[in-house]
Amino acid sequence: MNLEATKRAELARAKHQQALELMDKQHLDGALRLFGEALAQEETCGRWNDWAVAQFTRNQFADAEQGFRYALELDPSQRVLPERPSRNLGDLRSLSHSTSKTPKHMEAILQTIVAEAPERGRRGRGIIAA
Amino acid sequence: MSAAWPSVFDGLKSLQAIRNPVARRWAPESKIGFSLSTRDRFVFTMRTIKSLDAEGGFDLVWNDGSERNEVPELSRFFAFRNARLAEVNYAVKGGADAAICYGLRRLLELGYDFVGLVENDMLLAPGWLAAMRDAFETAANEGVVVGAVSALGYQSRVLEYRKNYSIDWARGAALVLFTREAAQLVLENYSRLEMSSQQIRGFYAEQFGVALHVPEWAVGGRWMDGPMTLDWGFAPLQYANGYACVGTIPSFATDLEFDVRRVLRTDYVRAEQNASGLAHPNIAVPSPAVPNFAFATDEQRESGGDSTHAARVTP
Repeated sequence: MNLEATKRAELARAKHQQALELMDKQHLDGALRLFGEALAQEETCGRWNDWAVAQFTRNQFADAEQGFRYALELDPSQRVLPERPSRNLGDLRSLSHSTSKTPKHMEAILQTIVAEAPERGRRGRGIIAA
Repeated sequence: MSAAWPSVFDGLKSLQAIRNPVARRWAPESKIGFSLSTRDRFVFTMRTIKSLDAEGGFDLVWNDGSERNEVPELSRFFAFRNARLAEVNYAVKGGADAAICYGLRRLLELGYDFVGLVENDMLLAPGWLAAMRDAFETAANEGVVVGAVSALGYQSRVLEYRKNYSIDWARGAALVLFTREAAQLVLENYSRLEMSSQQIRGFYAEQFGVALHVPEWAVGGRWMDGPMTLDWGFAPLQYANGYACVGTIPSFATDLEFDVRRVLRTDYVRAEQNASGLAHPNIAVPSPAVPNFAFATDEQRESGGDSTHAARVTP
């Protein structure tokens, strides 16, 4: 990796970390901005996944779906990802059942995404959990 | 390819001879500008700009009409590495046609020699711009006056596969690069571009003796007819004025929003189609010496309703 790429990766990691901290504080707009900045520097499966979770959390389901799908496209094996309970598919399912704002088809979409990644589905893990 | 094979080439050359279009050369110093139209869809936008930016040698004028703030913010923090972001315009509202006209007008005002459009659901493969230049130059070297070139190629929209470029009958706003003169032509005639699918088929039958076989327009054994979005008129307008629309072989672009096989019932242009000749059945219709297709007047168009609400089939 050249120097510029290393710098970009470091910057992306820092932005991503700040975004996760904002997510924990429920500052979704700020988190999305920082996820976006991190993704502009360096795309990873986990970063897109976290961006998609933030979109899901604020009921932007079309964006969430696109984010999840692209995350899987980047790394179908999900080997590189840290496990975070908040990113777990089970949590997303619970969310989809618990809020009246969530369209019923989101559950089906999530099922489809999982079905398209058999390894993950078999392990019963989250969208991105390794 | 043999000279005796069916071809649209002679029809094209005779249209050129009648219309005498301006033949612009793609020189190293040519100024190339693309208008990028965006309206939300952050994931697609990010993927489009990253793939665009894999190549340099062109300027980008980013025209955004988003409802939400994520894509406008992306335009502020995304650092282009190869392309030059010349300017960003926000609140470009009014729909796809308004964005297309705004982009063309702005690029012409800025003095570009080649004026392009790209939408935020295109994924471009490395080498896309060089491939467009090669297709343009190869066609020009054969004496074709090119008005529009693209790296997005659908098999069903090719008229003829020449050696190292295609001659296309449809050229939408998803990814296209016009010569300055051809862009001016589009802009000046924009309100008169509306055509039905039947009129488009009639135009190519009359001008080139080709029966367009368009899977997405066929339901069962019947050809469906209906109003089309205005960008379907780009290519007929070009040909009617002596300009050709050419494409790369293979396609260097894919759609992010839909599966072309399922939605358009076709596939992207592939390398093995190079030089394979006419892509549609030819029919024995004598071509008139002068194109007799008239683009509808503003009055006729207004009486037919607002086509900007029609489904945008050609992205």
